[in-house]
Amino acid sequence: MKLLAPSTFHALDWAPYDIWMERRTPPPLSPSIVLLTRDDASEARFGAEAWDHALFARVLTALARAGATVIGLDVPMGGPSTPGRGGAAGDAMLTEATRATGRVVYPLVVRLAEEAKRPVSAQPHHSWPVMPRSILKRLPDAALTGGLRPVLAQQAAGIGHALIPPDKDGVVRRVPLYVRIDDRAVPAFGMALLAGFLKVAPEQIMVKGQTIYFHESRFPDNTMRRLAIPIDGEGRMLINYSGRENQPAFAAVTFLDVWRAIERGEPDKLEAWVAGKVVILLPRERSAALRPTPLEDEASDGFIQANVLNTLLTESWIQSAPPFAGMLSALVLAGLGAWFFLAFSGPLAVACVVVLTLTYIAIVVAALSAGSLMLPMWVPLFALGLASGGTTLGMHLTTSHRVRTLEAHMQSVQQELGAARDALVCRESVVEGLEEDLEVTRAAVARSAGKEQELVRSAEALRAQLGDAQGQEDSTRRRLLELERELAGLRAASDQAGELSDAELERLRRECEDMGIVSRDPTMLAVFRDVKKGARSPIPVLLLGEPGTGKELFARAVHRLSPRAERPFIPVNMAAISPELFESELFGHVKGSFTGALIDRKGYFEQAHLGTIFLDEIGDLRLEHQGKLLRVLQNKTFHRVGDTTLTTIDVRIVAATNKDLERGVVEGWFREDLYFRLKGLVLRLPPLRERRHDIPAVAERCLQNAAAQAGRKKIGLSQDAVAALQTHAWMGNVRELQHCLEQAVALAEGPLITKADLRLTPPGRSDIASLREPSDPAGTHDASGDAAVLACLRQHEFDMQASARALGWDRSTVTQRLKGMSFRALVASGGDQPKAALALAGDPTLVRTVEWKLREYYEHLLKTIQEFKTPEEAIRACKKRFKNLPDRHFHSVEVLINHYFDRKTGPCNGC
Amino acid sequence: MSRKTTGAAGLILLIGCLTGIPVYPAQGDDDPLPAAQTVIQEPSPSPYEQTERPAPHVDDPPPATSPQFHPQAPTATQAEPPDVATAASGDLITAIMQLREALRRQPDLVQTRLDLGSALYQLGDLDSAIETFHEAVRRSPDFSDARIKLATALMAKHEWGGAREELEHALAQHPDLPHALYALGIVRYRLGDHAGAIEAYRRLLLLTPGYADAHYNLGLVLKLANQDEPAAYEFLAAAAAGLPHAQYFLGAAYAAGLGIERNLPAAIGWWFRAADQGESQAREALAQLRRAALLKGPQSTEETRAAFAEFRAALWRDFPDLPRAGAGDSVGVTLLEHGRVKEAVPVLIREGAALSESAQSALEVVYEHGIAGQVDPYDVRILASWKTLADEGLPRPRLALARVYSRGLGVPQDVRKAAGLLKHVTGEAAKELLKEITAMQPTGAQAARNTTSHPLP
Repeated sequence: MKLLAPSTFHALDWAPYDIWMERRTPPPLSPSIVLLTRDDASEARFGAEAWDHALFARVLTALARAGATVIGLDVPMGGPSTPGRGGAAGDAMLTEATRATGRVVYPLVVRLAEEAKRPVSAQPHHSWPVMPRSILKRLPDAALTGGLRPVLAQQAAGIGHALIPPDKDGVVRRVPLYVRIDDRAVPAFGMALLAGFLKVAPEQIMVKGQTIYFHESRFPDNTMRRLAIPIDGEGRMLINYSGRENQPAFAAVTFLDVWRAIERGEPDKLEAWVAGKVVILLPRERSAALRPTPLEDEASDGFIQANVLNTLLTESWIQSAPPFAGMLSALVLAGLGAWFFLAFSGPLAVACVVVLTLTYIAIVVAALSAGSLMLPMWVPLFALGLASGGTTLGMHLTTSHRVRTLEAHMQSVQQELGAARDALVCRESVVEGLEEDLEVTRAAVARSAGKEQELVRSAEALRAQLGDAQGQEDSTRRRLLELERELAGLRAASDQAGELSDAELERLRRECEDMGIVSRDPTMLAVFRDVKKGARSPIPVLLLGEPGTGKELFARAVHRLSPRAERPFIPVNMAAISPELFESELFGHVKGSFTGALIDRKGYFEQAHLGTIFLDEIGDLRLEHQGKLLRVLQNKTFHRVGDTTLTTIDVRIVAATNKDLERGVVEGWFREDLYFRLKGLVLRLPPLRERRHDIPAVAERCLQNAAAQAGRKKIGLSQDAVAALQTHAWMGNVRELQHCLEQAVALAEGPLITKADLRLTPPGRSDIASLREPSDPAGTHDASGDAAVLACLRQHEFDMQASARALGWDRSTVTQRLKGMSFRALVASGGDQPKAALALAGDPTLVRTVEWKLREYYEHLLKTIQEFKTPEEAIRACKKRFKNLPDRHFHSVEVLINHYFDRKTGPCNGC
Repeated sequence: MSRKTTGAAGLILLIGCLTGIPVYPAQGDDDPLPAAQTVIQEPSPSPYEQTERPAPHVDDPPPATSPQFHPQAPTATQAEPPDVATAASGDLITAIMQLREALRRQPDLVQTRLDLGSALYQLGDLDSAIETFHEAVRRSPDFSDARIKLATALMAKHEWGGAREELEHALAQHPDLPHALYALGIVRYRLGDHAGAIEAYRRLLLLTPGYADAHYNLGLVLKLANQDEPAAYEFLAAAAAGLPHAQYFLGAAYAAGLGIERNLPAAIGWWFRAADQGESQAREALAQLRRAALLKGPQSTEETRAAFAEFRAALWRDFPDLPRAGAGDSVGVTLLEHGRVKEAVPVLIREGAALSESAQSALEVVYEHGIAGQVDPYDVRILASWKTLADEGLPRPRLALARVYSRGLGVPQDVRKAAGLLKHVTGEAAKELLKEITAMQPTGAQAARNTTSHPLP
């Protein structure tokens, strides 16, 4: 908290001033100032405590005889001397010497009025100027605390206050040239010396605004002119320090030297030292208060006053800017700072603020160096920082709020979009069905004129339904387009809000590497950032992504970044656990609980106690096991197999799957409650093909691993190999890449792996191959055409109209192509619709849409064939009905029809 | 020596004299606070005046002529404690042990307890001494000596309030205690109670009317209380008794007309008397006056010269039997003419210092040639006087001294010094001497010529 004290800010404010003062060329030095100092030798001669005033009396007399113009004796005019150190005799001697010389100036012990506990009343001295009340009001209010010996004061040529109030940070930089005591203006000790030296009477002193004028001052060069002394609003002057007290720049003589000159009768020496000068006697003992100055930690009051006098005599003013300048600077800087953050992006704004700060500091230093003008530092820079920080915070808060709103909106829009897509698919299917029915009806019209009227009505009705469906489709499509545009806008806004800086990306990349994750991809790094944020909390994490995208690495990262990092991390592949051993594996068993249970065994959950359990392939978990797992997740307790007591565990759950659990919930193969229990923090890992820039680095890492495993030293990738890797689809993601490179390392002979060594299938071929039917060895179908259509459909997210526009076909043709490919994929997957849909969609995000279409097509097919009794009749009818379906796909239709009738008649056959 | 020890030691020495407590042995000249253990008639000098004759001091004890304080001795003195007043510092601890043993056996021996306190005080153990004196006061509240010793120890410890209380208590019981009054004056002044200090000193003077130090101290306090007139009266009494500081202050009062009619010749006279006793401020004051008299022009200069002349004329009053021919005659020269050589030389020196040209000429002759059978050549008194005046920049003594050094008259020949002394000195005699010096050592003379630019006033 001390760092936030006002003194800290004050010290910061004056830091450039202090540094400048320490490093600059020393200011001019008045040759008219001589210091009489107390050193070790003097103390050895006259004692280490306060000295006898009679000693000063004799020195004063001698100095006056030697021609000193003014003598300042830095001995407070307090109470009587202590017996043994002069007592009344010493006091009387000093008084007499002061009277006789008529040129001695004394300091007066005063304090600021609010600090003075027992103020003493003071008789005004004849050297104190009379000032108007308006001026007096501006001066610091002071009170006499050390007493004033009236007789000595009467004899003194001048009396100046010794008030040297430090700044808030304790450093003495300014001195009030006048303070107000009662209704009189009392000059500073140095000021009183100046008045005596320049022979300025009190009536020649005037204050106007922020300047003190000494009219008709007689300078050492015998010129007579007006001296104008700049002060601040409180009557203070910045002291232009000439140096340190232990290395004084002023002419200085020790008391002992002066004393010896007096004793030995060496008037010439004394004269050379002091004639025509201001002599300041500094006889205070070393225990006297010392104060820090910008140049040193300990300086005596007398030395500081000597510097005040030097500043005045040499007229080397340092001026401080008026208060309104500080406010103005603060306003300007704050305005600019805020504007920078509003007008520019984060790093640029920060750079601008840094430049502005440096510029202002440079201006402060330049003003000091060139113009001896002290500009405020802290307040403007604080205002700049405050404005910048405030603006950033405000923007951040606004943006966060906006992002939250956008995310909520985006979610609802996505739901709407999904519904619209579903509706569209439904409408399309209806339209397509109606179109086919219309065709059939037209053919029937041609064959049967008798039923013409009826059929015409039927056709009209169908046309009306089609028009209606098309209208609905158009409407839904427009709505979809609107929603997609809105979603795109929201995504852009969200991306912008969550944009990572380059520095942050680089930092995240390094942290990722520490976790074994090689990626420069912002999406991937953003996921890692979320992992970092979420790892500290105990919520479950659900990792989604295609196989080989690094789900286990992220799971390990969650564990390592969590407070459980020192505890065990237990990875469990749910798909690999035998259903019979599920409970035993996960929850453990006790000895004898079943055949083969020879000893007690801890299950994975118990092994992971206080640590993290990683449930991989959670989507492959059977329904009955899902319930058991849910109980554990809910209660944190379970029974070991064969055990009657409950076992309690504290485990962090990280689950992963490449399956669409949401769809699983919809379709009923995944428990909704388990899904929501697992869905604490959901992280979607992008596939490798979506972060192609990462491929070289990932490949390099895999290659080195493979080389190490193969016992080969250095092995690299040729440029064409890298290019090939970057263009490949990598449906199996990093795992596929890894296997590919392992194979290449095993087969490559040279130190460089070429494109040929990789043995990659051509781009897109692997996708198409998945659609190829085993029963079509001749490849008579237009595979490349289908591939192009499929690519186009994927590109347009299976929007038939958009795809048709892109291909330059009508929508019906595209529909027939997709229908054909759907039937073929269905055949290839053995009737597994989700699998067939995934094969067609390519991207899991499109699976849902494709599956809708696929189901519609299949149901339409079934609807068409269900009225027939034999497959042959059905096939014939379908050939007529689906005449626009490419022939190469009709084989799949036949397979499906046969499969339908096989299933339909299966039980009977069985009978 | 640490600051604390130095201060305490100084005060112990001082108060030792005041109360009769034995003090440390005399110390060397280098000690910054030299012996206050000197006899009462020789009060302690200020640290910067070691080479000078000491002057009385407000803190100094009353002189021996003042009534000595004789406390009532306790009746039972069977223990026969050691004589602490004369114990050497080496024996002090033994003495303390013996005193403690005696008190253990007979705790009511008040004088023995005071002796123990004094021994502890002498040892520098102020706290134990104060405790012992406190115990003595508690056991014998009416025993003034115990209170005064306690006050003394408290003063040494700068406990001024407690000291004043004890002294006032003692004086309430025995109003005629001069030591207590003297100390009370000191303590009250230190506490800023000028009126109280004046009252104490006045009571003391009522008891001992001829007590010069009391007059002097009273004068100081009056002066510091801005009561110049009574202060001058007190200074006059003390100055007449021969106290040099009082003479200086009286001279200052005459010179400035502070509480007394301004009389510069009288001031010069008192300052001369003080300076004769080594009072440095008086010497400085005279030097200032002489410099002022040598300046040209201002009215004050004329007044100063006239004051010196009047002072010289006043010297005749010391020799009423001596015939005086004219107003400008020198007493010294006249004494010489009448063969009263031994009396003449000091008077000539005084007149020389009072700017008498004829006396200066006579001194030059006496110094160079002496007076057969009565004054040897190269009289050291004359040489010392010239040195003092030459330091002040007076041209005539500088010229005389330059001649002395250039010719090696009573001093080793030093041509450079002679040339240096001729700086700022003009006139035919100076030129001739410079030629002489040039012939002896061209370099030194040339340097001297270059600096001889200012005319004689």
